[in-house]
Amino acid sequence: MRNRVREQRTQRGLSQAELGTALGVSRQTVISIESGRYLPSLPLAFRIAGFFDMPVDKMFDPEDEVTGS
Amino acid sequence: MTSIRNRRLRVPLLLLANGAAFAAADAIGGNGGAAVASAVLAIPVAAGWYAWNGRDSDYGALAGGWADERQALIRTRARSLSGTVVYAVAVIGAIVAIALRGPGHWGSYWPFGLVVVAGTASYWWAGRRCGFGALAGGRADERQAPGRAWFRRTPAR
Repeated sequence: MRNRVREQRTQRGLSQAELGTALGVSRQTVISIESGRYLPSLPLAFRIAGFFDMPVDKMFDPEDEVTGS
Repeated sequence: MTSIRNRRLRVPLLLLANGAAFAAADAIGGNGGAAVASAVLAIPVAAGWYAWNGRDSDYGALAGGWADERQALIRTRARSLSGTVVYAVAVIGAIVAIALRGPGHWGSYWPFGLVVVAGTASYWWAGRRCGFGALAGGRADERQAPGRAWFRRTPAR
């Protein structure tokens, strides 16, 4: 599953640690989410989307997983 | 019981209490030297743990009790895997002990058996406590693990 966390974070000039603090998770977890190694829980996904003021389905894109691309 | 507000202190204090318990057991068993060693060793172990669990890393978060959801998931998986390994080692140990000593020498393999029995019983207890069978009385479409018929009539799959 692709996500736009890194893109949105860098656009706002935030560090991974700052985003982690804002979301209540560790810097390591932000790194894992950005790299796609960890899929956040639904509550955390909503927190992330809310933080960047985006709909969840725009922040997390399952398309590539469905098509296998 | 007084709660410990500083989470970083919880495990180090438990380690100190653990050392004190071992020291007391040694003292009761008449081994004064071992009692002193247990008590003294617990101090650097607890101090080391306290220093370790303040680090900005997954291990530091797990050790310090301030894990987020991903780290908690890792902890759950790690505990599950290590439990499986301990269980397997106990079964293998029991088999080896029986092979080496023959049947009837309970003193040789009862510790392995204890781990196997405790592992099996605690697995079922933990499964029930964590939700296995919690929805057994619910409707079929509310179950966590629906039967094959449910999957057959669900077009989304």
